Amino acid sequence: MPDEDRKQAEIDYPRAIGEDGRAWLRSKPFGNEPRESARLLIDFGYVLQLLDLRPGMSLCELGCGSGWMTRFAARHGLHAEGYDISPEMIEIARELAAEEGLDVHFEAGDMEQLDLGRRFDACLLYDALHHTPRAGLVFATAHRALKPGGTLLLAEPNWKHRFQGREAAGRYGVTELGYSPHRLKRLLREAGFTDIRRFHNTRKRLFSNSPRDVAAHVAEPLVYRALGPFWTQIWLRARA
Amino acid sequence: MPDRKQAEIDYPRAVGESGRNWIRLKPFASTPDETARLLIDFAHVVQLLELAPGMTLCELGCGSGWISRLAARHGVRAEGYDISPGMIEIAREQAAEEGLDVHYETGDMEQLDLGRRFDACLLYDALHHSPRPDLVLASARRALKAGGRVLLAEPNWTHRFGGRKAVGEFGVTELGYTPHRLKRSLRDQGFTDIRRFHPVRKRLPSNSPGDVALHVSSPLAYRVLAPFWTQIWLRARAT
Repeated sequence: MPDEDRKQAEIDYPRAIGEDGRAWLRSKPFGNEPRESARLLIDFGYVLQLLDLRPGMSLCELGCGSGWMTRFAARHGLHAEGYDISPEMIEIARELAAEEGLDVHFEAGDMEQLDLGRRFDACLLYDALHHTPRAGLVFATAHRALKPGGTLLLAEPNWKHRFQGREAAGRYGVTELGYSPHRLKRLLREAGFTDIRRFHNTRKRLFSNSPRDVAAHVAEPLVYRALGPFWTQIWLRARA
Repeated sequence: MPDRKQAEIDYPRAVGESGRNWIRLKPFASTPDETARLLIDFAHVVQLLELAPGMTLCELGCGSGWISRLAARHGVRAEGYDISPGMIEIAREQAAEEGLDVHYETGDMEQLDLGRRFDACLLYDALHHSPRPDLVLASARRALKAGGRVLLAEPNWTHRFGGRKAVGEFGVTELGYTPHRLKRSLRDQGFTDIRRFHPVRKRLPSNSPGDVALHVSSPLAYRVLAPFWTQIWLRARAT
């Protein structure tokens, strides 16, 4: 697909999904199935930890969508900015920030091309990279946004998302790819990042004392690590 | 009013301006690990109580009410009760600032009668502030519809030692209950279908050898320490 078409599909996405879809964008991470809302909230906990986010730090989120993580970061006391290719997403993000009384800067911008001027302590790419076939360009943008020594964190679904994302790709024409951790690490090195570290996902739930849960609990670390190269969520942290 | 209850009532005043500031901002603006821990715990509350928009939830010993406010943002009709009027005042102010509709009321969790109208009841880090967990669980039972569920999160028996600083400084009650005792108390109060859940490390392990070893061994370590050390999550059903 030509670049213009795939990008236009991302721009049009908030309009294409209708009123129900936009209602979810607005309430995100809340108001969904307990499991889904919990998953997103837990992921934000990991973002705080892995980027070591403290009040007063500066953060930019590329491909921020409705900007819920950027807004959470602002509530945590950060100077947070969010960028997304879709002006309608940015409009939603700004409205919600105003409703919540938060001072967050949201701007429409293409994460493959932005130049934010090396001023951020931290940069976040949460579920953003699989919306572009040019992850290398996005890493270059992240590198341009970070101060020397600044930290990039990305969370991605892994290689298998090529198959899981097909429905959205078919219906809305949006890009839904799946990158392996191996490929992402190589692209990070090529973009000039160092100290690249992978973190492994967990099941994001608590285990009871039922025999099945005990077995799942004990086996989980081994299973998640065995599936790490192609299946389980990828968290990669690197230094600019 | 016993002195122990007066100390809980006075707590928001006793902690000073910086303490109250943290109470207002909670769960945010603490260290990354602490804020993450609280948000992850809230996510477990959502999962274990299967909170969905439209459900009713009461939180007993809600403190600043941050969990009730997050639940309200999730679409739950939430009410929070705390013995300290100072805490309830903070909770109401925060809810108003965030434009949330949460009902907060001063009330002693050992004595409340809320009239069997809630789908879910939460006791998050509340029980160890009382030497009478049986009375608190009776309040929870009186608040829940038949079939409604209570969820409690507690630090475990070790908190007897971990909480000593706050006891010395503010005179508040900081106890530590074993899961064994809490389960018995739940049964005594007429709860059924009692189930314990084990905590996880609340952080993601990297590929460094130390992290791999911790990752693989942590389920076993957590289960071995569970009777007296690791966080207790207990869920039960009201009949």
